[in-house]
Amino acid sequence: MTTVAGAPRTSTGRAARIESSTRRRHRTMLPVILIAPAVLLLLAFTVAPAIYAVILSFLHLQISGGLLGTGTPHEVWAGLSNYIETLTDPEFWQSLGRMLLIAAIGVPATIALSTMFALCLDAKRARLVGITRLAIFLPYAVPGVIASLLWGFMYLPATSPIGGNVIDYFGSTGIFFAVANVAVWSVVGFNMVILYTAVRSLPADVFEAAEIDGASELQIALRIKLPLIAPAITMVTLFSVIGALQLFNEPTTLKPLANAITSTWVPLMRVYAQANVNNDIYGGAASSFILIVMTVGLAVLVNLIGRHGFKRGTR
Amino acid sequence: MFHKKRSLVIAGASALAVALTALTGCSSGSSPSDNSADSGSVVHLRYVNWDGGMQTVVDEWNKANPKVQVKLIKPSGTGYTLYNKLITNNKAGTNPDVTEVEYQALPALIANKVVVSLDKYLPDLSKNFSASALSQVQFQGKTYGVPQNVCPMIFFYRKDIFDAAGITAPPTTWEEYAADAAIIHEKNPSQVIGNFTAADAGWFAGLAQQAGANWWTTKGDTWSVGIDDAASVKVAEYWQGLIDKGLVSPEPNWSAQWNTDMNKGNIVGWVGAQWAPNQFPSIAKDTAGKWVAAPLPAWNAGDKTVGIWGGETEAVTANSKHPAEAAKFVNWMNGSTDGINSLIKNVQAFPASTAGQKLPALQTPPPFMSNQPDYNTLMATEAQNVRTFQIWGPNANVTFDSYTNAFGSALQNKTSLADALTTMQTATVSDMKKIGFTVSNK
Amino acid sequence: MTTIAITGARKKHPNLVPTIILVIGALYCFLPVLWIVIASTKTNDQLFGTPTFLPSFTGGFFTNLQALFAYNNGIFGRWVLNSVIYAVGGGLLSTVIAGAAGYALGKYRFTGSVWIFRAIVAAVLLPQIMLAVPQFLLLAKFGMTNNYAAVILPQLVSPFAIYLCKIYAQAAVPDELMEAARIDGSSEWRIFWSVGSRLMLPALVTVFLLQFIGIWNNFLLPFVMLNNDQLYPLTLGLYGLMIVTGGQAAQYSIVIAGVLVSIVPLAILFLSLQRYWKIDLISGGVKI
Repeated sequence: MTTVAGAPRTSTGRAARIESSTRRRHRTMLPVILIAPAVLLLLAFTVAPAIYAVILSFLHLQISGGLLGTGTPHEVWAGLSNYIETLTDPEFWQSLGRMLLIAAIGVPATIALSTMFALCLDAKRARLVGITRLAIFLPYAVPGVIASLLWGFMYLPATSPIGGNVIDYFGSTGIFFAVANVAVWSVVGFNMVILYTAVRSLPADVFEAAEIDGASELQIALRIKLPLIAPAITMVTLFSVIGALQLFNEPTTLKPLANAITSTWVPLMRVYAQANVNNDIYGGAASSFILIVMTVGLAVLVNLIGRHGFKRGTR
Repeated sequence: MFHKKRSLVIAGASALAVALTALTGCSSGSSPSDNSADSGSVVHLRYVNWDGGMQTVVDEWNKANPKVQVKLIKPSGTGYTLYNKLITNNKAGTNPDVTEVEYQALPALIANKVVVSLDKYLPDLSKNFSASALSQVQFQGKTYGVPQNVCPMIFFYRKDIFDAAGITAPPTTWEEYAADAAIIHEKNPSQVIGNFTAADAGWFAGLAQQAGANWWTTKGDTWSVGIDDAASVKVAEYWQGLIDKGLVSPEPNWSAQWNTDMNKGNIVGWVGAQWAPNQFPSIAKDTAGKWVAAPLPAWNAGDKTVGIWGGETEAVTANSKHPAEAAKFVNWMNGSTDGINSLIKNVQAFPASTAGQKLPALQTPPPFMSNQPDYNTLMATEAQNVRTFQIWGPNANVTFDSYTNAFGSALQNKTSLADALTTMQTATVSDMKKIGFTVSNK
Repeated sequence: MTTIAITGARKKHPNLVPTIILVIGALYCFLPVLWIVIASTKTNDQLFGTPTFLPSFTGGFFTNLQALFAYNNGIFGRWVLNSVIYAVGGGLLSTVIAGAAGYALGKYRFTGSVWIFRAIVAAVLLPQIMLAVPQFLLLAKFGMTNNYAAVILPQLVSPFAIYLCKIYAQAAVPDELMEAARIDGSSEWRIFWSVGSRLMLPALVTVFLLQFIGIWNNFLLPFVMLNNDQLYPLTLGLYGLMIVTGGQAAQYSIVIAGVLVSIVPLAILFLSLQRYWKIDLISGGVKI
């Protein structure tokens, strides 16, 4: 099938014409065909369930009278009552607070560690770069649930090789660090690779000039490389923040080991408990929607701060 | 080389697409049974259960019943995780034919129309089961299962350590228990008489039952909820005293820490239940033969009442296409001599059936309690003394979940356990009202 | 020139500070994995009895492996097979889908392309938990739960993968090349098939690996969709193993062995395909 959109084949101004003719490529169906599977699947498995979830958030289940219900329970319109219930539930706000606390520990730690490792990988004459890079990336290959089981054994006084019988990893303050640690451990390698690539793609002449001027390796790293990879750091922060908001696997897996972790300890656990323990998918849907709105807000905020900070850095 | 790789990717992907379509069709489990009930063809049933040793029981049925073959499935979660899955999957029609159901969860499954009544398939159960046993499976005149076992709460203790501490007889009242707790802890500060578990609402419910509580009562179609009634508060405050003095551990049962403490002799007693010897080998293997079972301490000297912890029946799901055969299987397992014998041997159940309680197989104690040959005689006696709630609520899942959170926090933050009961009460009542049950509480 | 001379002179002694930091980081990341390897050599008694970092050489490793594969009539082997099916099948299919979509978005402008891309990226914000039960309910209406497709289909569209393919397509498939092919009379499809997808291969391999890992590790979706333990992947099976046995200490050894076995394939995949995939693609700025 030939679909040349009538581009004249003269040799003058060919480059310009190539550019404009590419944009004029409306006649071919190929991109639509290529993107169709993705769009269909997205509609079926993301958009449709999301819409369904929104609808569910406005309903709730009613039994039809009698001691144990005479008929099958049916759904009735609930208006905003699910939303109000979530927003007025002190447990919801407490779970949010706990999650933010873990984020406050985990996100800076992730960024600091991955940045530090990335810069170290790029340092001149650093040794063992290949193997340490692989080792630090390894946790990414470990499923979240398995990672939590691993660290669970590491924290348990009975099996702990890191002083679990002295430090109470499951105590009321310790538990936040314990959970944050598992999350940080899992993602620091992935983020390190992102930042490392960003550093590697910086033009070398900038720091070579600084080197000639007598700047030390450390000064170059902190004053030159760091500000130049600020956009990548923003992206890493964004992913980490979103990940922190969706914290679920780690506390769920550690829960059987720790009195401190309740079934509604972080917001997504609360959603899960509502949907799968209390059999209230309607309340769960409402809570999820509220969380999504908050996530979007926070993501926009992080992005704005990042851009603003970036502008400052290059002045 | 790139060329080969890319065609490989595409070929692999198309092959998989085809395979997937095929797999969608022939997946094992999208329909409860593969055969229609032609006479002469085999009926296949699926049965979900998490007890260890159940496969042998199922195998025995399969051997004796070639026309009705049962497949045992292990769930990915026990208790309410499983029950909630059953409720969700009920709409999809994919539930197995038969499921294990603990007594406290049966009303919730009935209210959600997950299980069906079995009266037309079962013989008259009152011949073989006491009224109190049947009350766990019968509601509003309909029968939903055949009671499998009765699990009176029992006190297990390390006789060797008690003797060394100068305690020659197990405590018969809770007052004595507290006193013994002090003696043991003083003699050896690394030892405690037991633990308070925030992980098992059933444990606390059993203790509340002993004290006379009734968390739910009904009058006609109206419910009344009394989780923080006087009896339950009494139990909570009693244990609060022991916890505050450091005489019992706040470790949840079956945590790795608790297992180690039990195995090493740091915890020297367990307020457990009839099925404990079944669990002991995986908790505290090294202590086999050292534990002795005794009746649970009482609130008033001479009072023999005890509560229950656990106990289950099998139920037939609404999704089952062969309820008659499924009911037959359930009745065999929990109501016939062969089935009960198999349960006793493989799962160490203590049958709820009165005839079952007289079976000679019970004269052998469970392997872990080889030092106590009359273990099952004690169980038979205690089974006569059980008292349970008048009825379990239709949303006991909410109550049980609330227990874990409220008591877990209370233990963590060292706040009042009685207040935790009130939290449970509020959560349960508001949930019931939301779903539309008629509740007399404010 | 001068630069080469300077760096050449400095090659003598290693830079200690970054090296030490990296080693500490590597140890931190590797420690738990090392622990699992050591713990899997111990039998259950030795697990709680012996010093933690002392491996046992009394054959506990093989006992554990045997017990693992014998458990419940060999269901662990089935779980491994299931994980492979989900991850390889899902990985391949989603790579094809992402590659095609990325190419379309990166090399063409058509009505709605911008908004489709934004929608795909925005999907990242939706937590899986919120979607899992509605996905289940929707599939249930068509009777399509509790089978392999139910677990694979929802994971086929990965916003991150499509994003990667899009930027890689933009960077690696030159417009000039496409235009030259068009002038020579190739159809668009031909261009995609012979030129575009070949040039995108490093991205495709990267995407496959990322998707493989993601699907291999996924716990929640199989948990919601599957009722039948014959269909469980490793993550679900192991988690269930821990829970169903009531956290019985006796099963820890089997769980530990299972955890080790579940990590091994991923590690092998990483190492063997290291040559082919560009881990560097994951960052936003692509240098080919």
